[in-house]
This record gives sequence, C-alpha cells and structure tokens, in this order.
Amino acid sequence: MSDNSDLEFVFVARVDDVPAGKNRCFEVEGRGVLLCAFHSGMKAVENICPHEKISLEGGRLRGAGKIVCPHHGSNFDVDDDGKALGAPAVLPITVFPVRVEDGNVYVQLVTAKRGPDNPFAIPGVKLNF
Amino acid sequence: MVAITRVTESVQTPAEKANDPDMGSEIIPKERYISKDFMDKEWDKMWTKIWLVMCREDQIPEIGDYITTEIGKESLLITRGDDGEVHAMYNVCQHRGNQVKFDKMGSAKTLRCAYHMWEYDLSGKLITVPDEEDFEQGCDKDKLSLRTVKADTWGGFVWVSLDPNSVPLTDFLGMVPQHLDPYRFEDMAMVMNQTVEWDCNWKTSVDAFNEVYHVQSIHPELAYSIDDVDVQIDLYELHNRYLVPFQTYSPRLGVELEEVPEAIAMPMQAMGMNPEDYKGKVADIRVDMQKFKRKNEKSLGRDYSMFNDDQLTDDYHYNIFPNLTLNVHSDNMMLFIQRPHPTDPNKMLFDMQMFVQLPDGTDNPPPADHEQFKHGERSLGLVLDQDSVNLPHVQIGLNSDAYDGYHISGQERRIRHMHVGLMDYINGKYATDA
Repeated sequence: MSDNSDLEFVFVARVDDVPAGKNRCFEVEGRGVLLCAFHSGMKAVENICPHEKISLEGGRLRGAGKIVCPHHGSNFDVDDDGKALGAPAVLPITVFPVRVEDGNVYVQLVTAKRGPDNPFAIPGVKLNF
Repeated sequence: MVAITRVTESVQTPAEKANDPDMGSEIIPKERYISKDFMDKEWDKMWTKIWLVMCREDQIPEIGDYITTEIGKESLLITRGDDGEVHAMYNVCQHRGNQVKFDKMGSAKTLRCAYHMWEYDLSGKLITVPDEEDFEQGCDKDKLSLRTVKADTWGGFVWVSLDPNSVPLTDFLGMVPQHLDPYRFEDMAMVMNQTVEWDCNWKTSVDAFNEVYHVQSIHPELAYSIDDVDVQIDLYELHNRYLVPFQTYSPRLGVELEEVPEAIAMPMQAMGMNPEDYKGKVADIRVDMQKFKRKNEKSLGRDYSMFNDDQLTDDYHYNIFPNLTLNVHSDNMMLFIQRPHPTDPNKMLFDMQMFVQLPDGTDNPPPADHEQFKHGERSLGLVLDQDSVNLPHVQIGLNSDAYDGYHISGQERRIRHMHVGLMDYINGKYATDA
C-alpha cells in the first residue's frame, strides 16, 4: 500500500522472544502485532482473524507463510498479502512489513484491512436504505 | 436481551405462520445433485413444465426491442411485437438451425437470421425466404415460423413456459402475487444484472439461500444487523419463505449491545434517524424504524400503506419454485435466478439482479446492462462472497463415494420443501399432457 510505504519501522520485540515455529502477540501503539517465527523468517500480521474478529495467537504456522486460525480453522497466506485460503474467512488478514536488525524486530504499522461497514453492500450498487 | 415482536395482523402480505407439513427426515439423495440422468429428468419433467423468469418488461420497452437468454440447452428470443405485446420464441431459425440473434439485447424491425436472411416478424412469423422458388418442397410459412413459447408477465418480469399445455402463470404463482404485489416490483429499477458461472448444481445454490443455519458460521458480521434465530419459516404448496428480522441483532451474541452497529447506523442516517439516540437501546431500533418510516413516508417519497410494520424493516425472503430466490424489502429487492447448465449437473448460472424502489416522482434509469463472469473473478460483496465460497466444494463432496446425501436440520426445512416440489414434478403430479 503506497500510502503506508513511508511509515517508520517501530520496535516490536526481540527475535528471541518468539520461539521458532511459534507466534506471539505484542501490543504496539494500540495494535496487536502477531509475530510469527516461520522457518522462512520472521513475519508479522495483525492479531485479528477477519472471520470472527478474534485473536489468531496460538494458530499453527504451516509451510513458508501460512497461519491457521486456532478458533475456526481459517487459513491465511502471509506471503500473499494475507489472502484467505479457505472458509470460513473470505477477507484477508493485515500483514505488517517486517525488518530485523541486530536481533530486534521492527514493523510498519500499516492501515488495517477491514470489511465493508455494511456487509450487504455490493460493489457498484447504491442502495437506498 | 433482544426480543423480537412481530405483527399479528397484516395488510395484504400474510404475516401469520403457515402450517408445517410433515416432510419426514430422510436423507436427500446426492444423486439429485450430480447425476446426468436426474438432470435430464429435471429438464423433461420440470424445467419444460414450469414458468420461468426470462427478463424484465422494461428491458424490451419499445416495439422491436428484443433480448436473448438461455434456459438449459435452449436459447430463447423475447421481443416486443408490433402489437406492443411481449412475444417469446425459440431462438432457432427453421432453415439451418442458426440462432436468429446472438446478441444479448438489440432492436429490429423484423428478425432476420444472419446466415441466409430468412426473415421473421417480431412475433416469429416467417415473412420472406430469399430464392423461395428454389425450394422444390415449398416453404410453408406457418410450419416454418419460429416456434413460439407461452409468455406472460407479473411483477414487471417476463415469464415463459416451454409447455404449451401449462397452467396459467397465475395458477403457477399461487399465493405469490398476494404476498408480493404490495412491493410493486414492476415499478422498481433494475440497477444490477450479473450472471456468474458457478461450479455447482443449481440446487446447491438454491439451498444456500434457503436456510439461515449457516449465518452464525459464515456471516458472523450479520449478528450485528439481523436476528438469525427468530426466523419464521412458511411452507406453501410449491413456494416457501422465511421472515428474517433486520435492523436488530442476533440473540446468539448473548449480550445487550450498547453501541449501534455501523450496519444499522447507516440506513438510520440515510432515512434521517439519529443513531446517537439509541445508545444502550439498540433493541428498540427495529420497531422505532418501522414507526419512523411510516410517519415520514411522504417526505421519504414512499407509500407504505400496503405494508405491515415488519415489512418496513425485515427481509421477506421467498423461494419461488424452484429456482428464484428473492430478498424482499420495502425499498429494494435482490433476485437470484439459478439456472441449470445445458449439459453438466456440476455447473450452473447464477443470475444476480438488484432492484430499487426510487422515491415517488423519480424516473427509473434504464435497466442495468448485463455482465457475465466466472466465480471469483470479482467480488459480489462480502455476504455473497461468503455464501458462494463453499459451493464448489460442496459440489465436489456431493460427488464423493464417501457421501450419501443431505442430513439436514429443522432450520433447513425449506430445502426439503423445495425437494418435495421437485419430486412431485419428476413423479408427474403436475403433468399437463394427456
């Protein structure tokens, strides 16, 4: 997202704070940042599953960048901008760009993705009420 | 806790609960969804016997306007004839079988086949055959006219029946006009007209909208604007409905809402209500909105006199047998037409059409242009994306040797009811031929 590209990277935690293959949530500037210690590297997502808007913490990490919600099993590809890979979620998760320096993990707190205010809204259709 | 009140008396659309017929609880066999043999039976015994929505009357407003559309393997041509009436015919030239028109919509003085210019009038009657003297067998203009099909109109829609002996449309519709005439569909503007190619049986899609059991799992957002528990299900002879309270919230949340959810606040603001007034009183909104709309109908440019109070907020959701799904609201209507694929029981066409009732005195724009695309190529909006995401996977499962058929709940009884009608057709209950 271009409007987020100039965001500064803010410190979240030490790499060592997250065991390999696990994830852990840290609160940064009021946002839940879920650091995911994939074998392919440290990745970060907003700690909200877009299905029921609840925590992803503790969700299983699979492959190079997939995280599975621990509640209802929605599966997201962190490497594909958080795309939902299987129902029940259809909306993506928010992915934070990550930088690791000297064992410190920094992220850009990009704007959260969100669903429509009116779930019934249809692209291109203006409804009265 | 949110508690739903319902009207007990209605104006025209009945509000009372219909009796529940005993339909048993047997498994609904999967073969009905996957078998080519069953699909052929559906064609012979049902699709060619019932009345089908083909288009809107206002898609062919002027003499010579036509549209082409498909049902199963058949292409139909719907015209506005020289007599000003709607005519429907098979879109097949009686010379070499070419489709007389290939375009979705157009306008013509006469219908000329693009291959050898056989010319038919707007009612399908053969007028001229180039080099007619060269046909030693002659060209009998009656026998070689386009084959017509029965057409009629209701609700601003053009309906056809491929069965020359079919019952009249009004008989087929049964209780539907009494229920839905107050909404004046014929006055609504069609603002969206899309066809999406889905990889599932047409019934897999119909079923997806015939139950609210899935709302808690697939649409958690909707707990903040609808009540998916206090749903009244009414099963009539062929058609059915459920009534879903809108502008409220689900008892499944298990809490009293303090803040007015955005999905309720938006329509409130659009009509001039202040969501701030309902902090801590969210459960009052639905009935207060009914009163507000009733009181302010003139300034809103509306006439709600034919509606009961619940109709001013709730979703009156109908299945017009077998393939029409209607989300009916006082000011708009969403229609799904679920069409079978010509040959493959694992595919279908999902027509999604949106209609709005514009304020009195506002001219309707022309009906929306038709667009067609494949599932997933674009979003249909959150709720429909959620509804459709499972369907191709259901269809794959229906084809599995490890699955027998639907084992369904009471909340899903509209599905079973649709199957009763389907099997009645298959078994000849409504047969019209001698």
